[in-house]
Amino acid sequence: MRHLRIFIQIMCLVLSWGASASIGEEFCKTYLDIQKMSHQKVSLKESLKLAFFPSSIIHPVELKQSEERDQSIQGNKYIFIHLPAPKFDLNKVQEIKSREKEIGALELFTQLKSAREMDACLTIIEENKDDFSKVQGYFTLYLNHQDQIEAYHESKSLEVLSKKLKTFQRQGWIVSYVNQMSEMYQQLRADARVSDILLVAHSDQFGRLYDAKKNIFPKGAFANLPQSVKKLIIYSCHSEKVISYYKINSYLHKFNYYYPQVESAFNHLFESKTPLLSIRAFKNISSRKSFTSSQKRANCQIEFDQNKNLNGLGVSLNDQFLGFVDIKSSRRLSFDCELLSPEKNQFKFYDVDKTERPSLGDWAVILRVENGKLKELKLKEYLTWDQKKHLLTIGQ
Amino acid sequence: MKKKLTSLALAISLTLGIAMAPAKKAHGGVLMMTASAVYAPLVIGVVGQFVGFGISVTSIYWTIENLDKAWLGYGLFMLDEQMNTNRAEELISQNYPELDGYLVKEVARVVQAKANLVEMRPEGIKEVVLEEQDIAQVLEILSVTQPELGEKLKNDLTQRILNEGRI
Repeated sequence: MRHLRIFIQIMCLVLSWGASASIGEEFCKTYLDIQKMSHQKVSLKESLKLAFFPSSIIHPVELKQSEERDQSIQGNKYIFIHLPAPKFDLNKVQEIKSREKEIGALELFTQLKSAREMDACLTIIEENKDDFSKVQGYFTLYLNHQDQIEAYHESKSLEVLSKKLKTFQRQGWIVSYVNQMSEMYQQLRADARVSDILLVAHSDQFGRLYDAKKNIFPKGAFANLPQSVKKLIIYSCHSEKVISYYKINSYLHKFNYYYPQVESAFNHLFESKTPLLSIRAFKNISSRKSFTSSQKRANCQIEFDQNKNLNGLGVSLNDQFLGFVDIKSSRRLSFDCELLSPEKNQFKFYDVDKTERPSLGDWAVILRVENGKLKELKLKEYLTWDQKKHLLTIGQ
Repeated sequence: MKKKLTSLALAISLTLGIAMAPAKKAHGGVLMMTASAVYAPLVIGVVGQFVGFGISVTSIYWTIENLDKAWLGYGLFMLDEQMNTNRAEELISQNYPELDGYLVKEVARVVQAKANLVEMRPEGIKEVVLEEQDIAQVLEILSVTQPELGEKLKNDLTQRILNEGRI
């Protein structure tokens, strides 16, 4: 049944791409590929582990720069959940699930179990034309309501996750379900004592993280976390790609980094994916001592006009993300002076999320470096192709 | 007293069994184990223990094999992308992963605007051809911020971006 669902998802994807080969051939090719996958069995030992000890599917891996351990001062601990919580029509989902059951019980699939080659599969389809047309009808239904199914699965994931996070809450972690990444950055900016952060988010095969509104976390997203942060945990798939895309290794002098790695016994099931069920494997991370540097890092700032139109704008410095402009709380955005290059520095001001804003017109931003030097940035604005909206402002 | 202790033992076993056993059918196994240990004579009690244990383990194993039928199936959702974002944005983002999000949006916007001016083909797709002037702003930005990527994008413009009919 599980493989039937995977098969249907892949077939719908194939059909949505407008496959040039005939539907029957595409159907058989996909089905035979799935059949090969299904021969990977789960052993009883693995099954019992999955059932009773899901935390053992993964283990936390620590990335650190140094073996030195200072006395770490425990501050506030935050868990940010960047998973979407879309609404769905339960009746529609139930209708699709019951149709899926009916389709799974068709004689076509009973006969297809014995098919190992394309010709055999095509012959079976030919002999069961009525069943096959029902399958095609189901594909259309699924395609038309794919967003509902996905919303339903997301909702179930969140339910399971919230139960798993109760352990963390008992340890003092603050759980925050955020709709977009700017909320996370604002909460971090507002709390001067945050020491541990755990981020739960989707990622893609390139290692890019997504927030609940499906915006990609910009490059260098963790370059300018508050200085009080000593531990960062990112709980997502494709963990090693995430490290590479966000250049986490460059920041290990600021904080210790932890990520999930699937145990070798379960690699054939999960590969580079990370099950939500196993998040409790990280419950003891906060008690581990972290590397703390006694050296306080110098703080630089950029200061904005009191221009309400700037609110929510994302700011990057040399492709290191600094944060979001929040005129209501402060006209200044602090950042680590070491992010400044001794040669050329380029600030980018842009919308990270799908906000569209009109041209920003005239405004000013001042850079304040550590020794009190002030510099007004020279700004250049780029508009969209229709010249109606703000796309990017570069400041140098 | 014995009856009360027996009932208490049953209640505790059932509670623990239901809390721990992830498959509903396994509860039957736990019940059998508990009842046989408490009520049955020695031989039947031992047999009951084995049979009950077997039911529990088998049902758990069956649960794993049929994940979508058990609550476990929902918990095993992966933190993978499966993002059903706008199709044009997805295409561009997949082909140019180094392109910043706001530029992906901008190129996708141009593609969609051009797609709106093009007729749908009988096979349900639209053919959109981007020219350099269409994304001049994007190329100008890239020449300043990511010059190599800008060159690549400019060279790729001769390729056609197929925009399938569902957008």
